[in-house]
Amino acid sequence: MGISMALYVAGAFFIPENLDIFTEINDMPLFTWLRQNRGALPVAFWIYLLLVVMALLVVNIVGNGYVTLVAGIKGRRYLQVIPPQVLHVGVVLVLFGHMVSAVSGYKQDVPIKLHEKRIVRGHVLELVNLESLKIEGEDSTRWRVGLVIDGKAATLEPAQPAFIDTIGYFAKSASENTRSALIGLVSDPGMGWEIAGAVCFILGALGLFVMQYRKGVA
Amino acid sequence: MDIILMLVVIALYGLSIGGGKSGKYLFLTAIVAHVAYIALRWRLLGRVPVTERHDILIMMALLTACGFPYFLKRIPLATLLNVLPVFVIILCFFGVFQDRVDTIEPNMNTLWFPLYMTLFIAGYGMLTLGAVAGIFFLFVRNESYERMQHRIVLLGWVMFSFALVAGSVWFYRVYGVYWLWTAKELWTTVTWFYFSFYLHARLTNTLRGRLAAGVGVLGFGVMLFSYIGVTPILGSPWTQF
Repeated sequence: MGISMALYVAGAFFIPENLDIFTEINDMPLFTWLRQNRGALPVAFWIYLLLVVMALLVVNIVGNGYVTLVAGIKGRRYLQVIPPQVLHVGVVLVLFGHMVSAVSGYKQDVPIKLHEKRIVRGHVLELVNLESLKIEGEDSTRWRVGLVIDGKAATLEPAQPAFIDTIGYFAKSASENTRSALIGLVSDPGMGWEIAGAVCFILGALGLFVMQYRKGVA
Repeated sequence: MDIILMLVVIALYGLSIGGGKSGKYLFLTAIVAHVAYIALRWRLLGRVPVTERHDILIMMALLTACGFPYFLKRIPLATLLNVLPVFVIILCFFGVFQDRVDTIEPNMNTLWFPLYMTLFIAGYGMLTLGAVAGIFFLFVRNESYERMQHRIVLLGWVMFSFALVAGSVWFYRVYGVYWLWTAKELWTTVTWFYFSFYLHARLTNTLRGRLAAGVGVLGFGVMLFSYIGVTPILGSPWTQF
């Protein structure tokens, strides 16, 4: 944990100092970025080390978790050993889901004009409607985008994406002046693992909390 | 104009430091005025004031101040009033110096965002209370204070973890990613790892006594730096929350 914290801190120093190199890291899956930026090793070494440390952390969690679980079940200390292990399983699943998405997912932004049809990665997108709304208290104009995706109608707004056949469709921006919108497509094949991990994590954390309080935190 | 009320709140907390019985009433009056300030902000914004850094820090400070009755049952009043108001003032002080935006971005106008922020405030507020309990132990050396610190930090860590889950869901709905590779996100992860380390080491008895209390108290610094220090010092992109 200490090493991973040190690497995260290193990253927090390297990223702002090298924005020209890291500018695209958030626009594509991590492994795609690493493949395209092999020359950035002197400022991105901490990411490689972080991957190694996280892998070791997972091995450690699985190994220790197994030993603890077996000992706990033998000693019939179910309530003491199960919640932390559920929490650990949650962390492992989230990391695994991230890795699956980082390896085989994709992100793509597509500019599309009103009433235009575009085929993106085998999906047919048609922008059928575009509205700008002013909501009281909001600092900028809210857009509402009507999109037909493979024949299915969807309405996109800020923070209201559509998920169709494991692909997420996000309205990143839209303008009535240019009568166009920027649609983000995100394929996140690890999402199921990540959600399962988050649920395990929440259940494990709650269990740990209840267990610790019941025994008065020795 | 309303900021004057906040300055009065800070002054009342300040006057309560080490003040014995009169300090107790000053502290309680400060809490009432603090709640009034938040109610004013709520009225002004027309929504729960958890959408910008100013209000978030002020809310965290209130939650910390509300630890007063809990501590009062376990800690002598004089000791309590030497420590708790200081932490509340630190949070209020940083809150006062944050720019007030008073509007929200359209992508924050969802149910997930206030949920995320409420859990975040609860988590950081509890972690602050954990640091307060740690200071009590470091000065008074009563073992029960260290156990109290562990218990409070555990609750804060659970809240903070839930906040990260809710925040990831909100962020995914906005940008299609759970988090970004920015200094801010990296430091938030460091904060989570830091308290995970503290709890893990405490649970496995690797950390005990003064060292455990010290590590827990230091976490308050990590938390504050992560929340308000990273953007101006390391140059992470600005966010209003």
